[in-house]
Amino acid sequence: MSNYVLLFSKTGDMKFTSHLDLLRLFKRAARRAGVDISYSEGFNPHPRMSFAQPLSLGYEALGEILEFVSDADLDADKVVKSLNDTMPHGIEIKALGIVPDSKKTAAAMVEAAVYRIFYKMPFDALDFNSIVDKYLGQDKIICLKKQKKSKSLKEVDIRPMIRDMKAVRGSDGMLQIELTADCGSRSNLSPELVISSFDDFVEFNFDRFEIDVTREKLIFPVDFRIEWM
Amino acid sequence: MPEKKRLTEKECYELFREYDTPPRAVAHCIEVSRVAYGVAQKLNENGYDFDLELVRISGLIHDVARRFEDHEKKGAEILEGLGYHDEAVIVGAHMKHVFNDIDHLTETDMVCLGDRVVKEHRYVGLDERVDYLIHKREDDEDRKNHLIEWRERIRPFLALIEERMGTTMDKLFRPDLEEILKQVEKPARYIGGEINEVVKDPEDVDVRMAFAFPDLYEIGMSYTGLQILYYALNSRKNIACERVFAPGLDMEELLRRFGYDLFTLETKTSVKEMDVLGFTLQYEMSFTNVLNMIELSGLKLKASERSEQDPLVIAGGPCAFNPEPLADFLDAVLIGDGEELLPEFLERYGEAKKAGKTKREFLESVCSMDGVYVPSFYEPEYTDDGRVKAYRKTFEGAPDRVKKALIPDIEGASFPDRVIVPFIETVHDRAVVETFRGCTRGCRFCQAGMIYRPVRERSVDTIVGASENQLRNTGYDEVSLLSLSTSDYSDFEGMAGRLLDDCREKNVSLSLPSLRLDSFSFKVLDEIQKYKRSGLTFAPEAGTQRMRDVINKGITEEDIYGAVKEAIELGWRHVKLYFMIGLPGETDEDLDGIAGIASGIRDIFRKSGKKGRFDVTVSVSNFVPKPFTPFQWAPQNSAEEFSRKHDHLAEKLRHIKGVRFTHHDSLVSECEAVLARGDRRCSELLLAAHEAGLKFDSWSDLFDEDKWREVLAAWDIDYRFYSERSRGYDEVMPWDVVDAGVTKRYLVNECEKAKQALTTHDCRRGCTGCGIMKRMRCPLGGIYGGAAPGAEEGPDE
Repeated sequence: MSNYVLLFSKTGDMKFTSHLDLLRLFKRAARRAGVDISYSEGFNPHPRMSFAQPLSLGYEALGEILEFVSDADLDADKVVKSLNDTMPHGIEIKALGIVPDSKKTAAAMVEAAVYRIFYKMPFDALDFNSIVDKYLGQDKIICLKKQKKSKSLKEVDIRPMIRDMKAVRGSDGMLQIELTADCGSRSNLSPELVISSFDDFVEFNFDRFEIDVTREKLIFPVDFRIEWM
Repeated sequence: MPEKKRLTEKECYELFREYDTPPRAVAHCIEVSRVAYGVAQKLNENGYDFDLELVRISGLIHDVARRFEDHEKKGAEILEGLGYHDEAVIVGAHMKHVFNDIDHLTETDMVCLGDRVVKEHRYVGLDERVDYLIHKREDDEDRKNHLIEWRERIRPFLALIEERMGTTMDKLFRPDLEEILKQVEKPARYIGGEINEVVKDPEDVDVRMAFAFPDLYEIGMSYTGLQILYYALNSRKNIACERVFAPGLDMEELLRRFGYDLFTLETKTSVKEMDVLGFTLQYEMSFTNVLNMIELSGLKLKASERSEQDPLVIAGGPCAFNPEPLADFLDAVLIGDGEELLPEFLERYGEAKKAGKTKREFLESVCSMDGVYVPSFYEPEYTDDGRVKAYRKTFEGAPDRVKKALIPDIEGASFPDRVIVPFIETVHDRAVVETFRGCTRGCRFCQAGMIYRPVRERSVDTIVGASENQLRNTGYDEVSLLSLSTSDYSDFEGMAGRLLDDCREKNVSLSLPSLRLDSFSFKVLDEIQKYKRSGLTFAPEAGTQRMRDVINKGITEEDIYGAVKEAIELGWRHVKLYFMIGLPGETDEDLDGIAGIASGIRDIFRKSGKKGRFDVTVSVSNFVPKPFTPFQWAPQNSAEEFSRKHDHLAEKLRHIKGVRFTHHDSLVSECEAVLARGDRRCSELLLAAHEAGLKFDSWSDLFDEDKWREVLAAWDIDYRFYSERSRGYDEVMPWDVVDAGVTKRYLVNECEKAKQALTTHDCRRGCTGCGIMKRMRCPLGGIYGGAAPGAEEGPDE
């Protein structure tokens, strides 16, 4: 029995599907492709697969991780090809890997993610480098965060969870923000909070749907090893 | 003449930095520049000669001095100082500019126009822009009046501009589809692209149909008929079938606002560009959605007002058996089994199109096919008191009565070995195999049991094969059987056994809806639902034996209690009971019988000695008499009477512990009754309902009771004429133009027996002479003994 991981991208119209939609989609794709996934024991057996980190509806992603357990000795090329053959346009499997340390799961280990935030604003229109520096230079960046259980709003300082942030010029000349932020079970910063506080800071008045976000990759600690096959 | 020195984009950005222009103002400038440039460009295409670069740059720089007082003057000063005179003039004028005559427009007009329709950083149009300005300082009445006056002065100018552009501003600057999808709930409803979707190149086919389900994607995609027809149509090389669903309210608002027509999921083609728009009519309360979808497609509602270029608008499905309420809106109605009729109809339409025939010529050529009803070839006449007197044919070649399309052997009919697998959760999201069509039980309220006759089964091999194929091609982990009564399949035990083995091996769960609860069914249920014993459903339909005999529901109290006892033993802790009220001849005693059954079931649980919760849900629907049933002549209860009965039941059930009571809305049932047995004059009602904005009437949270009351009250005809009136056997019914196979003689006979509470046996135990034998040999009639099929005789009607 081995712990496998799939590296995949989710782009185009597929961004309009939710986390749960995607889980169903992978479950069915695996059945169609004949990829042997172990089922859980118990009353209601389900395939032992999960995403390292949920992705919000609306986000594109280039390097997502799905982990699953299989008793079979999988052939990477075959798995990647058979899955890609049955995937809808917008989901692409890039690689199959194996996690040698079976006690660790990607979901428990993921610690940060890199996002690219797309604005419909020419990069040169303002001095975004210094604007971002000023934004990051604040002592605290206070945001209102909805509490999971009580649904009440709580003030949080998101500054410590931003690992890196810079403005870059996209190939279309538009502003992009590259953001590396905490992501995972220990500390998690939703890019939504960065977007809203940054927009407030700049006094932008964009509607949320005018801004696109892509999660480019998930970052794991160095001692979490994935052997790409 | 040397090129004039022009301000560049780069210089603009430098000036923004130098004068510390606020980021919001910069974003605004960028959008004004885009809009001004877009209008000017469009006008240039139509004979104007603007300096586009001047428009673009002046728009971009116009608020550079936003942080200064009299910012337009300061801005002009800055630009003038740098030697950009033309730009300076425009910037200096932008606050108080009076638009020039439409034939003498300048670049200043363009920039100022852009400024008047952009709010912050977005094109919003004049109205929203002015509303926003008013909103900023709401208490200032003078300012408000001034702004409104200002708006009304600009409006005619804007209209002239749009006329010259040949398009509207809203359309020119509308967001693209992607941006719209980002603003709506469940955008995946509109994207298509699912597994097993079929996308064909329009060039490769002769005819393209938009298959329309007049409800949300989640509902429509759960409907197996769509999957069957989609598969059957797309299997033909020369036909492309694409899907379209009713958009959600949020989506509809955006589509209307930005002038988008309804489009198909497969190729995002505007429905208006398709050859055929075909609706499936599953329930009457979706009719307003049909009208709304025709309108959203940019088509005229009435068939008579549509042109040769517009798609042919057709409909099918169970509600098509009485097509009259929708007759004015449809070019043709397809009645009966669709998987052979529809492809044939479409292929013929493709040929007719190629041959350059008109719609009328085409319809004349197909109207004699079984199942094709062309409403415009018939004209109803009414008696003085409003009943239908006769149908007069307006085209001699049309048949007197349209026979339903009937596939004698569904074993050979097309059935999908792959179905579209939705991305989002739908009501039923699983593989589905239709085991048989029709029903032999003869429940007198049930339209499906009458119009889908005779019973035709698929073989076990075909069923198991279809299930295997679908599972392999979809990746589903659940398969469900579809029929009107699962356990009536002649070799149910054999079939269930094979499917169970197959499913166990594949880790797939098997779902068996509408089981008769005999011991074998329990054995199967016990096996398949070992750990999911959530709820067990029964449909006694009526509370007393007398009433159940009236409706010919062959189920006794002992059947119910026996099954409940077994269910409790096997661990079920929730029983759901379905009843109808308002049945012909019903008394309060029959209602009390409903409470009696609920309480009897509770007693069984108490006596079983089992511990824990035990819930009984009593779900009551209001009886709606349907065409082609023995109760088609019966009056419906009034809404008041229904409500009284609901109260009566609620009071009776209130005292029984652990019983939950739910019931349907009375007015919904009345509207349903009007449309179910309506004639062609109901199109006026539907039009009025549509104009009042009524839609999604089958959604309890969206059914607008007050508006429906208004629409009903305003109608020339007393709607109770349709719902509450008792009809005579000799009355011409609006649906008499359709021949559904069962004879009127049979229906009359059944109705008479109902009055005496006499039952009619299941026709597998002897032919009961419904009339379908006139069309084809009934394969299952009398298989369990009794009179052989063919026993019926005598003249029809």
